[in-house]
Amino acid sequence: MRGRVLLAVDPKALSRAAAGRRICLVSGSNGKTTTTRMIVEALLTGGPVCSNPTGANMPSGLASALAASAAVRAVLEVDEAYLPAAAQATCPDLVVLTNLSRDQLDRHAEVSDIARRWRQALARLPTTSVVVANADDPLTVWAAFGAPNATWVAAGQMWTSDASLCPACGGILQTAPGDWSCPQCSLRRPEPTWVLQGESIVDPEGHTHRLDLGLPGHANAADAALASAAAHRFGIPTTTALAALSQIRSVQGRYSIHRVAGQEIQLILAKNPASWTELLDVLTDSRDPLVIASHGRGADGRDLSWIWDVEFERLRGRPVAVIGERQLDMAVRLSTAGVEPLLAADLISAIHRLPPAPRVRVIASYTALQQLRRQLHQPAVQG
Amino acid sequence: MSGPSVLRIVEIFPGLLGTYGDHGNLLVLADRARRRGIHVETLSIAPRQPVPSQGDIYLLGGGEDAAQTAATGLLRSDHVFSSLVTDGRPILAVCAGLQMLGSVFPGADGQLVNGLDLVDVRTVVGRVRAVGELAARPRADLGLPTLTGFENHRGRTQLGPNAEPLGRVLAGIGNGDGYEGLVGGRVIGTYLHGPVLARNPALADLLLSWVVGTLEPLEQPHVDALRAERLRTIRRPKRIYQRFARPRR
Repeated sequence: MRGRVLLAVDPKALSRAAAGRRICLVSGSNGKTTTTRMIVEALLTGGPVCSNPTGANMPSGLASALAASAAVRAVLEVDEAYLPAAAQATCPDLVVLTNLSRDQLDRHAEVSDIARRWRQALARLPTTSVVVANADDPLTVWAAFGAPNATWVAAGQMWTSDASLCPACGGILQTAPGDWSCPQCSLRRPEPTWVLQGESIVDPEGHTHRLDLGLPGHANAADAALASAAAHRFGIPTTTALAALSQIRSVQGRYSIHRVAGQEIQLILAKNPASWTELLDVLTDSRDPLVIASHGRGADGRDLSWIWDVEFERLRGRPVAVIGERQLDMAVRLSTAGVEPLLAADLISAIHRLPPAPRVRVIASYTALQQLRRQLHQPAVQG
Repeated sequence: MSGPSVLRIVEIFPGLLGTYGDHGNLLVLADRARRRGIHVETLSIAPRQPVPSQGDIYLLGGGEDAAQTAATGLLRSDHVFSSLVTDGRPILAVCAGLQMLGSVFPGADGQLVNGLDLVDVRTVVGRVRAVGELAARPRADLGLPTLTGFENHRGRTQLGPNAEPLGRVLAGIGNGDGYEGLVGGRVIGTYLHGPVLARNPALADLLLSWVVGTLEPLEQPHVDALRAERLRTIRRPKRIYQRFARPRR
């Protein structure tokens, strides 16, 4: 709100607020909030940092975060559609790009269009700016090739269905595990200087750092690899950065643990096929019951067709309850997958009807997660 | 029940034509057939793989402009695919899939691209993108209830004399002239995704019945509830409009 007023009164407020600072922008379809938080934790080991931790990632949120802090170093999460405007206004030292995949298609229409706009914007960065980008996502790589300098991180990408075509020439990409290239033009996976290998990160000097993160799964390890590379640009040694960011147990309520109606629950965000695909890998390591909370508001995307791209068949045999304004979409998807869902009015009745377990995972869309956090009056056990 | 001992459902280029959850159409067809005891095989055809001739139902989904152009190029040189339409094989073509079966469609740069010219339609680019809930009253002879789905496209599709619309638009844009989709022989084209067969199981059963004959009905409480909910969201604004508009006429 404060930022919106600022920008309305003074449209140049964002560039004025950014002037004289060392700015790091973080964007992408998935992982931008977590990566931002990780970079902040790493940078805090070397002094004060300004950020927009509440996910206010439009220009007004950025202006307001900068106005509220005098810290010279700022790490700002940016909505992928606003990255061009934010990059132009803030002249960032560093831009961290996690990945690009289908998300809120009713708002963004085509993913390749975002990649095109990124590429044009990154080409206008100052010659000293550096882009840290995921080498395993062709759309992100092609956009980052527009930038004056790039540091490539082999962070992995489980979801590949938005990168069938070469973003440069429209050819059909050839993919192999850990590699991709276009048979028609020169675009290919760049040689990474940072590599995520299972549970370890290999830095540019060839040192291997074993990960011991407080957040689960490959997606968070990928964010940690990108954050380590970003922190390194700010002069933070990787061992120091990893020790700091490994302390994170929850990000904006994601992965936070609560007690509801006597049951321990963990809140998890999943908002598009790419994030669900990463999450299914984490979920299938236990048989814990699940609650899936689906909304279809603006920030979730009003079109829920994408749930049919997620392999919910992997949840067969698990007790699953569905809640939220779009619970029926999810119920139809699950029953087609051979998972018979319980339809519940809210989280508490879902928990009452599910079998008791050590922990119930509650997987929520963006606005459903925000709503659940507001409803959970009990203070979090951790996080 | 008549038809083949194994029902083969073929999904063409899901990596290129599957942007709007279109893979769900394959999942729904397979699920509804299996619940009736029909043995199902599903095939996903990757780019540069030939389209098999022995499929019973073929699916073409929606995709981004560049992917649509690439898929059209691949299918143009596939002799099996063009013979499917003339052979009267059931094909469900959604959004980009519908457009590419016609004579022309708009490509990534807005220029018109030659389509496969297998059905009598042509698509040009519209002034605004059609994004939102779409509902249509289907042609009476199909015996289907109201069609519901979500649309997201900029195409304006004109039907020639040898194509019939799938239905009349009740809410949304559809083809852009008050009609939605097309029926040409056993080709069904539509702008509805959601995906379309998940929200319109009667349309899934129509496609299945073209192969296996009459089907027994299925209990589907979640689907019925979802259809009712989605149709309510589009009807509400219309009632408000009528309440204010009528007395003035």
